[in-house]
Amino acid sequence: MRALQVFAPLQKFLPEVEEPSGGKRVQFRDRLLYTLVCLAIFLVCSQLPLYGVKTTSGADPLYWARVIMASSRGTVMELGIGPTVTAGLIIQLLVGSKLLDVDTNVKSDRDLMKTAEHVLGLLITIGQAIVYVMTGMYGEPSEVGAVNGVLIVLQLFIAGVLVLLLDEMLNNGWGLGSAISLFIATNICESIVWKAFSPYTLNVGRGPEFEGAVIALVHFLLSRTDKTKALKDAFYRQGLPNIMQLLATVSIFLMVVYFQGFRVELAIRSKRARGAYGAQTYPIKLFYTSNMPIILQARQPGHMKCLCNLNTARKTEQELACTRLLPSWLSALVSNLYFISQLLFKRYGGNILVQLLGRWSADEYNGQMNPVGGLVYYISPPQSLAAAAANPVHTLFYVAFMLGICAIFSITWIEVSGQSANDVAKQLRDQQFFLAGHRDTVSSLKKELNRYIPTAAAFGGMCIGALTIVADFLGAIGSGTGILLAVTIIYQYWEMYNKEKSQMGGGLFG
Amino acid sequence: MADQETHGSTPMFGIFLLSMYSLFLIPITLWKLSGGSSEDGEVVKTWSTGKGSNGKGKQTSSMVAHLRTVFSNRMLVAWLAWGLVLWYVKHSMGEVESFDPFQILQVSLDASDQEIKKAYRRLSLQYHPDKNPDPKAHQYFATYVAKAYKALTDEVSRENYKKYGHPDGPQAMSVSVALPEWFFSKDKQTAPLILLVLLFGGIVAPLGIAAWYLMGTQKYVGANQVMEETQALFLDSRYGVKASQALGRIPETMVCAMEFIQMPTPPEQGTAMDELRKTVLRLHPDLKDKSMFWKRKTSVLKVHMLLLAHLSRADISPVLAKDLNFVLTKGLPLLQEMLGIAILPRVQPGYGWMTPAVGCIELMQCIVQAVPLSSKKAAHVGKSNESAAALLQLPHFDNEVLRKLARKKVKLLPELQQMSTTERQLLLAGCSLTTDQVEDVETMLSAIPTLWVRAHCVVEAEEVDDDVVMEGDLVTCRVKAILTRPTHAVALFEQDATKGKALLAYAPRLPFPKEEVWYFMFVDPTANASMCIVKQNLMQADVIGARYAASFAHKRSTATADSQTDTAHRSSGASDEASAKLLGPSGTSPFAAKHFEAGSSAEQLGQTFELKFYAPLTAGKYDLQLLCMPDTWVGCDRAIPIKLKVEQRTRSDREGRGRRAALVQRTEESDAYIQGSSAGSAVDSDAGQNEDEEDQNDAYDSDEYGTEESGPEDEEGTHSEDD
Repeated sequence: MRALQVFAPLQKFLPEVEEPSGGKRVQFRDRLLYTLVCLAIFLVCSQLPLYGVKTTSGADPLYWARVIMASSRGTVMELGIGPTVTAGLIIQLLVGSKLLDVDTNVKSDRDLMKTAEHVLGLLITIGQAIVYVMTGMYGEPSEVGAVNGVLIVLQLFIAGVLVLLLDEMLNNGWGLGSAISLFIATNICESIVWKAFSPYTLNVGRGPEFEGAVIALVHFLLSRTDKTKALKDAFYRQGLPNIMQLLATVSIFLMVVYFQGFRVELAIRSKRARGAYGAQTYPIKLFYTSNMPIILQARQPGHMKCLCNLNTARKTEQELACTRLLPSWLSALVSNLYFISQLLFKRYGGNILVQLLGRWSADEYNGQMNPVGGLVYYISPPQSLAAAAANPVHTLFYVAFMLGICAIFSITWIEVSGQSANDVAKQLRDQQFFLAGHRDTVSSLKKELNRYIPTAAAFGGMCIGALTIVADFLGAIGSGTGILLAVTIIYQYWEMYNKEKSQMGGGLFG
Repeated sequence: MADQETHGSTPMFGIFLLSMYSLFLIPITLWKLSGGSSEDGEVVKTWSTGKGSNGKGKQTSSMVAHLRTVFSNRMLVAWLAWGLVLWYVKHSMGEVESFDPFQILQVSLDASDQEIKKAYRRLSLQYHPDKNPDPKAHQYFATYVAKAYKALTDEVSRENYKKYGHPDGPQAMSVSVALPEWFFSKDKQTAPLILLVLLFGGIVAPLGIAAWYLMGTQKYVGANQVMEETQALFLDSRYGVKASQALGRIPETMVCAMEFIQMPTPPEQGTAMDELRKTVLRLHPDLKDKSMFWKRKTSVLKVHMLLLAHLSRADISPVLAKDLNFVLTKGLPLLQEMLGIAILPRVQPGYGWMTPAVGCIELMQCIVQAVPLSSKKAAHVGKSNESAAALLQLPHFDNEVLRKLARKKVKLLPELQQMSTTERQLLLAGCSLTTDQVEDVETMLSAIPTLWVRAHCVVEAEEVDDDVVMEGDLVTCRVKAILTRPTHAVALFEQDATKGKALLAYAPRLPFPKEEVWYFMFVDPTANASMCIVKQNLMQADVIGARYAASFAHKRSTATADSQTDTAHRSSGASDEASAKLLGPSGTSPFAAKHFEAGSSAEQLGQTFELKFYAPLTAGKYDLQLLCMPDTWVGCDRAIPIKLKVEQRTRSDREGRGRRAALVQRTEESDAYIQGSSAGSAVDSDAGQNEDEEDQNDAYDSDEYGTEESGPEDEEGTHSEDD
């Protein structure tokens, strides 16, 4: 009996979203509508406060992961997409390392895998919710009381189910992309917009200042008599979002968009179709691991559209939804490490091992815990350029760590997730494609692909790492990983829209 | 941060409002100033009436006019509001309590220590409790002056000031929201209310509006923005597009569109409808017995009658003018939709019906120029300029004028086009047309285009093209097109003026401007199959045509002395008139004219584009046609015969090792081709197949599938040369 069969009895208990009847493609406008509804539910959920919470003050142990995990403190979306993503990562790793035997070509197996992911996701949700309540994130457990504690866990569980359903709904062809990427992008964009236009004002002795960088600029220019100093303040003020950070964010945004276009195109030919129809390209992107363009971009004449391929295309799209989130998983791992280290330091601060893992101190400003020593300190980004210069060992270690882990992770990831040269060669071979100008064997295909894919993966991973570092040094809003994710996701939506437009003819407003 | 009591601050709200408002207002103003919304210069008229003259001395006044349009009333009000907010902010902000030691000490930013000390001493004299007994002065001295001095001199304080903005280190932080105070002044009870308002006002409402908008536009789908129900009706077997539906019966389907079915017929249109009925019966007496025509829904019947009346250029009562406008505006996109449905793959993979497709385009032409279908019906696509419809498209032409022209031995449009201007004017005046009317006719004649096409079919394979077409191949037809019009030869015509996005057709009977679009359709007339259709905007071809005309006129003016080279004219007109004639449909093909080709780059030789279609699935010889039809002119269609020989596909071809693969390989390793292919394919192919391949190579004979060239009446062109 296979390990996967364990989940079979659970299949009928889990709520699920049906696919569009008869494999029919839902109209683009409809899908956009469902996506908007999805977004509305998510946004409302991330504003609704949890019932039964006594206090949410004090340091936020998950501060690091908030943006990436699309979670907001003290609200129903406390856990965000964390459990779903983590469950997906675990199952993918298990499948990739052959610990879990899944034949992705069989529908029942795919369904079982989905069930397994969902069950695991819900278990993690419950577990995390209980841990949160017990560790006093919502006030001392005795103060909160048993009833409220259970209620909080229940609320978080329901939110988890909701996220799951929304994600499945979008994935099943009712909406655009996946809910996970939609939520991440929304959250990151929201935080960027908030940091730029926040109407909150803070007074730390210099008089009230706006939190939003742009508003603060206007405010300074209007209220100060010395305009040069006002400008300087608006651009470089410390502790609050400033214009420089905003500019850094924009430039990182543009940089990622620029890198997105980097690709090597291998000319492949189909054995089934001759002529121009048979000649296609297989693009290998620089950001190979962050989003893989497996759907072959067929150069088709205007009126001949392969509608029959849409179903298979959708399948691959779904599978890819997981692989896109590599940076998010990476930061999930790191932030989990932070979380554990923080908890341990609070309890057993004196232990030498715990101190080796990480020492923390509270920030004077907002009580935020910052790592000041140990492993965690060395893998956390320097606070500013000045801090980076002051402690070069830390800086160097951090850079090396980021680049190394990104490259290694990328290379491992393509093996695990079935995007290695081997797998791609097999895939192309199954679809009766061969490389133009090369012999039509798997081995030659593999050899040729091996020249590009691992390099692209490793180098792309390092680029992602480097971009993250640069973004963090410049203090870009929403962290380097966040911006990277947001750009990738938005770019994908843009591509999706363009594809739809070319298929529909008119586009959304045309 | 969240645990602190939040409270509002009205002046801050003003600043917030001001910033957001500026972010909206300033870009919009700049965009308008840069002329972002102006739409002129996008479409180019294809005719020149010679009436309007645009002086260039009006530059400055147009600048003022532009500014005036930008700063329209609404914009001024917007900027006034901006100014008000700014004033309010400036006014209400008052003194912002902030700690700036330089300001307190009244010294400049780069003041030296000495100056600071001096300033401190001066202020001490003023505020020190020893000198000034006022307790307020004392307080001010302690909290500001002393601290400011400290901040600029003491090391620790200066560090603190740099870091936290205050010499005493971090101050107690207070958080507030830049919202009006009354928002927070109420008791705690309002908190949930505010949350609700934020949730619904901030999230649900905007998304709801977006959703509502999307639902609203949902009705219209596709590129042509046609109702979904209409699409279903057009696909219906009873009302929809049928395989053998020619031009005469296309309107039957068109009027069945949901857009038309839903049109209301208010009672005040009753008398107008009766009149319309009479008009239609007078124009089409045969309709009297057709009960099917009259028994339809009132709105459909009305649309059909309006259409017939429009095509016959009959007068329509002003009550119905709005409806007619609607029918014409909606009609063209509907026809495009029908065209799309006609060419849906039906006959064979990728092939649609030819007859309804051609019919749809012809109806478009007829609607644009208001020409009755009966006059159009007779002519074949290739000879469309020989039908009466071609003449009837001219303004003020009707059957009466046609009869008079026939009496003067002018029966076809080309004959009229070939005449010299004076000759034509005399003739038309003889047909009882007034001078103004003749001028209208001239304008139209000068804008009627002539298309010159050269087509060449190949199979694209990697970097090389293959002239041999096999079963089911994707064939690429490369088309080069040049568009000429008599306007090009007119001296007034600036060839560089054609910079817009689209050409505007001369359509006086249409209540709205219509862009000229050309359809290129590959058809197999014997099988009623349309193999491929491409919609093209021949802007570039037009520019090239104009350049060609200019170079031709130049050549001619240098060679007028030598009368023997004067070939293409019968009368001894002026040189530009002769070239105007040349640009009409009877001239020589620009492709044939050698003097044009010499020394001009490839792109100058015509606008190039590609048509792609699948070759028939069975081998054999096919007589195909490339139909070139504008959607705006009657009688400018072209049918270019193209012979296609389809080869049978061998097994080695099917497996990707045949001739085509060899061809690809040849480009890569041209010399070592034979050795390379035999060595490379040793694994998969045996000698027998290699032989097979050789045989095929011998059998190929692609001589007759070279370039097909066409100008209309090429024979006629050479004929006139002989004269």
